[in-house]
Amino acid sequence: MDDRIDNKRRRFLTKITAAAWAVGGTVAAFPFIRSMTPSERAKAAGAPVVIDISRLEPGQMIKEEWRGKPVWIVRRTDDMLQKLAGLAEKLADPDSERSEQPVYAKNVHRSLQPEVLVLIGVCTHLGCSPITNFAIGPASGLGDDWPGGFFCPCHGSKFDLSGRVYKNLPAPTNLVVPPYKFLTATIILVGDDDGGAA
Amino acid sequence: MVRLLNWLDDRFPIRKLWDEHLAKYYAPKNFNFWFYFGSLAILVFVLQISTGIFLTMHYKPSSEHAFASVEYIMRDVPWGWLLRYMHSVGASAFFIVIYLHMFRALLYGSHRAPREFVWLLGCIMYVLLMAESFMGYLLPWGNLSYWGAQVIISLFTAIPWVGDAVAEWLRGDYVVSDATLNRFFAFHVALIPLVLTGLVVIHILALHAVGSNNPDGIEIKKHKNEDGVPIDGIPFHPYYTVKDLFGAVVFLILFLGVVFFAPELFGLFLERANFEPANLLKTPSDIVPLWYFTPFYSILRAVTYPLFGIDAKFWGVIAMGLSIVLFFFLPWLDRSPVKSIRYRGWMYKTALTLFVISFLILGYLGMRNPQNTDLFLFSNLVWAQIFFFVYFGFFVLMPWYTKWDKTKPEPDRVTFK
Amino acid sequence: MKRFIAFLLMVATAPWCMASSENEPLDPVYINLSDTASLQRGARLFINYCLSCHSAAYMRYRRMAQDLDISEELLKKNLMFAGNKPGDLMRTTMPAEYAKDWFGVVPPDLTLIARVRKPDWIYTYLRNFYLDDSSPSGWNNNLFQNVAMPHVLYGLQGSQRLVSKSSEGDGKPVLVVGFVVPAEKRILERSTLSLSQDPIYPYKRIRAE
Repeated sequence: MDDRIDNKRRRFLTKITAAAWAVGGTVAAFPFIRSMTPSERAKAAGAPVVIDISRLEPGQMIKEEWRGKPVWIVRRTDDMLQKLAGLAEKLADPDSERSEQPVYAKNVHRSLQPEVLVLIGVCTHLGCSPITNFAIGPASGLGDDWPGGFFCPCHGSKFDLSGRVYKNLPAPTNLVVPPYKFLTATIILVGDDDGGAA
Repeated sequence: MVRLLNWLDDRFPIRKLWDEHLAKYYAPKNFNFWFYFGSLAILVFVLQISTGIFLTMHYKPSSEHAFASVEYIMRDVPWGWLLRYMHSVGASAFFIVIYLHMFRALLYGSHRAPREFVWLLGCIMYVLLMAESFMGYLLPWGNLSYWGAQVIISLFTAIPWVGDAVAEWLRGDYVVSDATLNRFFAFHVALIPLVLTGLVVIHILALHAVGSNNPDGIEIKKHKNEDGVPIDGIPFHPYYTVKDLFGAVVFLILFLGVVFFAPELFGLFLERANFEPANLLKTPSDIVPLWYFTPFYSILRAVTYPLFGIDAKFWGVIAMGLSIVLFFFLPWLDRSPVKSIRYRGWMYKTALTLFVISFLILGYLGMRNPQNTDLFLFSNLVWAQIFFFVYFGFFVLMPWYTKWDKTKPEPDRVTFK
Repeated sequence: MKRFIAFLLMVATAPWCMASSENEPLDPVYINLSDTASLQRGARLFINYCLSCHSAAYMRYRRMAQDLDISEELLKKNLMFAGNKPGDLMRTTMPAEYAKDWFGVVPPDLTLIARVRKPDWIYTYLRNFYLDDSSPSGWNNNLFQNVAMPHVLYGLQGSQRLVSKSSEGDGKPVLVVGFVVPAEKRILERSTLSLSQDPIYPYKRIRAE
């Protein structure tokens, strides 16, 4: 038997083995990494919720939960609605061009019925839930010209009563409007809008 | 006993290891107060691992039961409150010890050649420790735990294009949920402690290969006697084992004082809002990270201007990442011919002082509302922006001020002061 | 009132609850944790008034009795209703969905309330209810505006109304509360309590005074 060492052959085998391991390792990592993405249960958890607003007074808000996120429903007063139109100057995205909402909510009041506002109560900056501040002017502690709205306690973003964000604040876009529809005059289904037909 | 040892030694190099790392590891004889914190870090690590293991015997990592199981530990498990408080206070103690340990390096140049690798390992462990404590903080499923995790994971959404997918992958859900809690538990009790343990061993092996630094920042290996033992060295055991045991006693007195008498430490170690279970409809009004993250949180919030058409949010995250990553580069940023602060000139001394001040003030500002004026003249945000530049200035200008700095001559042999 | 707070404090096992700086002006309260008799009276008030809607679900009756030096016999006789066992957790009998329907919110668990808020806050809160016709329960609170909870301790404190709401200094509204019923005429008869919105107000549970 020839006891000469074939270095070329040895290096080739080493390289090919290393390459096989590298490819195999990458392939093997895939299921591990993939296992951390949302499971079928998490995906299925988004069932629509039914919310009864018959007892919601004008100027008040209720909070419900949908897909693990807070959903706010505000019945706005006429006074609140009137103030919305004059705010465009101060807002970052007054016409909701860059923001997320169903087509039927891409208007100044961002809702189906002007007075009933449905929003996802999660700040578009880093996901805190803003707090309500419906007081007007100095009583709000947010400046003399504050017309009422929402304020994020984490990083100070401010939103008007349509969930539109004010300029030069950390949140980049308006609060998200979820898909929803009215089942009756006082019952809202959040999470399903028959594909935007409403 | 000796026969047993001999039997073992034939099969495992127990005597060799003992000599190499303790009985015949020669450490400089002029260690001072600042050299306690390495051994103290090991002590706290052991405390955290042992209390942690016993806590997992009672804790339930599920969004439904987590909060109640912590209260079950606090009330129903015999001595459970002590385990829990030792673990929660231990987390803060770990950071105090680590920050002082790192400061020692900056004082005496322990991060510089030939110990750069020791420093790099330390920096990696520091980052892992932050991940460990962040994930551990979610486990009690308090309201601040929940919203803290929500905010920190949302930071990843600042990455262009893939941000949302990365955040979703980390959470395993569309919001912080049971799935997130479960994986944080896995990382907190298994993966990260395992990696940390390995890194601690490598950290010490790397240190013992090059030898310990000392307050003079000079190499004791330059002067050896005929047996090859450094003249200025003394065996780690028994000299420094006894010294470190003394330090550990003093540390434990302080540590247990906090555990027994002020485990919340006025809301610094355990926050009020975290005694409420996670409420996904209500963000706590004063949401701040725990104190050891606040300097970096301040840096994140200090960035308020969009640049190159990308949101301020993205640049804030980049600045925060940089503020930690820059530590890794310190050994190469420093161009001074001397290592110890004793022989450096006024420039490095000033820079280090300013750095420590900026770290502390940024830490304080990170706990306060940016709109308030808690210091004088300017709002907290403006102060954070001022100290943002001081903080980064320490790193970025280091190659220049350390080179220009007028140094004093180093002594040939170690000194006592 | 103080013994009541004292009990909450005991429940929270937080004798080291320390004050941190906050803006709300709170009435300070000092709780003497070695005054066992006071703490026992607090436990009775808590169980009679609070536990019907709120729970203290991380605390066990027996543990409370041990900590407050109450014998098991007395505990069973005077402090436990609805067929509980001494080893049971102090849960409310009110189902959460009913509570949500009546009050709009589920009353929070109170085991840790003194650690979440602080004793001063609880003391101030409980003493600051006033009559308000515009609120669904007929009550409002000076410290916690539009709170869903009615003034449960009305029978012990009497009622107050809002005297003035002025704007001072920093522009923040300042509410001044005054007594309508003088303190010495406080109504102690449960039957006169008019908490119409509170359908299971625990009249029958009270063995007080």
